[in-house]
Amino acid sequence: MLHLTDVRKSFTQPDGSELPILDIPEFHVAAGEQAVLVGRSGCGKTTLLHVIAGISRADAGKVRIDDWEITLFSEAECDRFRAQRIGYVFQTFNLLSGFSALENVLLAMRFARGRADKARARQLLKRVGLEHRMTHRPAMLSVGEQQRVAVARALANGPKLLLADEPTANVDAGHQQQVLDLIRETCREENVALVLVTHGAEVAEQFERIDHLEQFNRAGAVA
Amino acid sequence: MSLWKVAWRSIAQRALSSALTAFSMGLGIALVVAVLVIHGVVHQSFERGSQGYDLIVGAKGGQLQLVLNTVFYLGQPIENIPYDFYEEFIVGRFEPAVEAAVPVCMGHAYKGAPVVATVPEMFEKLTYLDGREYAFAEGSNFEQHNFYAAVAGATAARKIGLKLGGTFQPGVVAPDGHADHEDVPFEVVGILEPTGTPNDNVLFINMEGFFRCPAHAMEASSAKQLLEGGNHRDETHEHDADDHHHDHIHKEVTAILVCTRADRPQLAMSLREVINEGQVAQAVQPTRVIADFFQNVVGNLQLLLLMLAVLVVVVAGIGIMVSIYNSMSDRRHEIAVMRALGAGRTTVMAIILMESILLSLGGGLLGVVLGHGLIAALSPTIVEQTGVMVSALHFQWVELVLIPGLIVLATLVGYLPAAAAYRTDVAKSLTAAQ
Repeated sequence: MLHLTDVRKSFTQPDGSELPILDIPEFHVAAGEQAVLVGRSGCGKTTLLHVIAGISRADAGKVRIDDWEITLFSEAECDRFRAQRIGYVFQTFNLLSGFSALENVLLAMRFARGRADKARARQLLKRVGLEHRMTHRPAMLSVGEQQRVAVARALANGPKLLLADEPTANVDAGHQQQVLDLIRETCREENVALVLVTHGAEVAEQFERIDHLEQFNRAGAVA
Repeated sequence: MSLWKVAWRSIAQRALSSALTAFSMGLGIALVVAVLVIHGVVHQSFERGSQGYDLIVGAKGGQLQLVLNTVFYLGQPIENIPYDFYEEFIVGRFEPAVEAAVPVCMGHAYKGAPVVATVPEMFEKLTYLDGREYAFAEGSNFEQHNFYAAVAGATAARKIGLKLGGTFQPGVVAPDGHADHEDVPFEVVGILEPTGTPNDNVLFINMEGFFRCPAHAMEASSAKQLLEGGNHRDETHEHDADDHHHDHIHKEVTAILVCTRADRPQLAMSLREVINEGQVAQAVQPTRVIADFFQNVVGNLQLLLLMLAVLVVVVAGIGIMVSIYNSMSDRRHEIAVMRALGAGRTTVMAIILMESILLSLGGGLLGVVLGHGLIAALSPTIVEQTGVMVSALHFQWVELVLIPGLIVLATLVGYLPAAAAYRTDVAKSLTAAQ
């Protein structure tokens, strides 16, 4: 369902020279599959997720999700596609601080489809164990609870692909496994393909498919 | 969840900054509202005050002074004209063109309220506003033979505390505003219903009684001289309580309020020309004089004040721009998150513009309330100082223009921060936050 071919991405440095970040000949994830991408900090993991999500444009190559080649999309089409078909869980949760847990989920729906399904939002929050914290704003939630809201938000629009960028990095040790289990279980339940990046071996070893970015990223630069 | 709600939440997150920004807009709008409403109300009051009669006939001199003094009791009377001249409107050569003519004698006051000597027809033949007839809250009109009777305007009676049967002694107003001496007492026989005109602040006394007071009569010989065009006036006064003797004493009036016959407009026009060509008096159309006054003096002043007020609003609008723009660096990450969630560039731009509109309209609404509150607070002072009624609930239709005007202003000032939101680099902003 996710297929990358000859994807290249580089950044322009202050001196004007180009710094290659990604040069990936081939990367594939099947529907409902769960893959973990490991690599040291700065090896391009987040950039890869940004390129897959259409947040950053690849300099070259193709990114295909199901039947859509998003590298051919305009920016607005990319935004719409991302909102409707890709879920994204950030390392720093990135909840909107002025909105309650429920509203954060509703907003994702609003941006994707122009309307919000309150019943589904409540159901998702109940699924992640936050039925009693729906009206709480992020500042009133624990770190673990915030990441659970982020998971619910990422699944709000029924995506076929969930991208998780170091989702446990900012969660305390006691809640890391809980958050990881939640992501994997909900992805299984909703038949969502998962690409999770991490630099932690203890997280990676729980996945059947482990991809080392340095092994298939020919750029090999430190981003 | 609507984008308006998203915009509102962003405003609420910066509550203090937003409140101060909206307040500055509110002050600007309050100024605009105050200028508009006061000008509108004053204009209307001036127009209303002169309704009910077409012409004011008074001594030759400044037209504006004659109108302001006769209609609004502002300033000093120009001079007096002979009573005989008034009689020309009742039984003389002007009579065919006249529906009603009411003489008034001014220049007296009691406890700050102007005292006007007139005839009962003032409340019987003249109307106010759009043809409304005078009505009495208490008592009734005075009768001609009841010499020392008076009728009090609603506000004057309330402020002075005059009741039916109460008496007062009007005094002559000196140029410094104080009463020089007091006349004989007049008894209040009627209190008018409020009219919303300057007449509410006035005490009306029977002219017949007024002429019997000391110092209000002139020797017949001097009057004759005046009628014949002489400049010299013998100000010898004579007190006379005897009606028979009184008929031989010359009387003067300050002005005559003339209602011309609507069915003979040519005669009415000729009447004005004939009077103005003569030596004794001038005839002015109060509505025209007031219209000129507003156009030439008040209109320019209002335009200047309005321009200043609009400038304040524009400065407040720039304040909104600065406030939102300054917040953009803190909100770049939030905007990037929205974009990552699928909000398009135009969506985040719209949210910022909506913030600007909400702040402007919120401030505008506050300004309208403040403006009318300001008028409510100043209203008693304005009425007391000028006799012009100003209502806080008086809305000008121009105020409706404020809403689309503010939306346009908000869109203009919100454009710069909205464009900054539009240009937000999502990947860079998200990465920077990690």
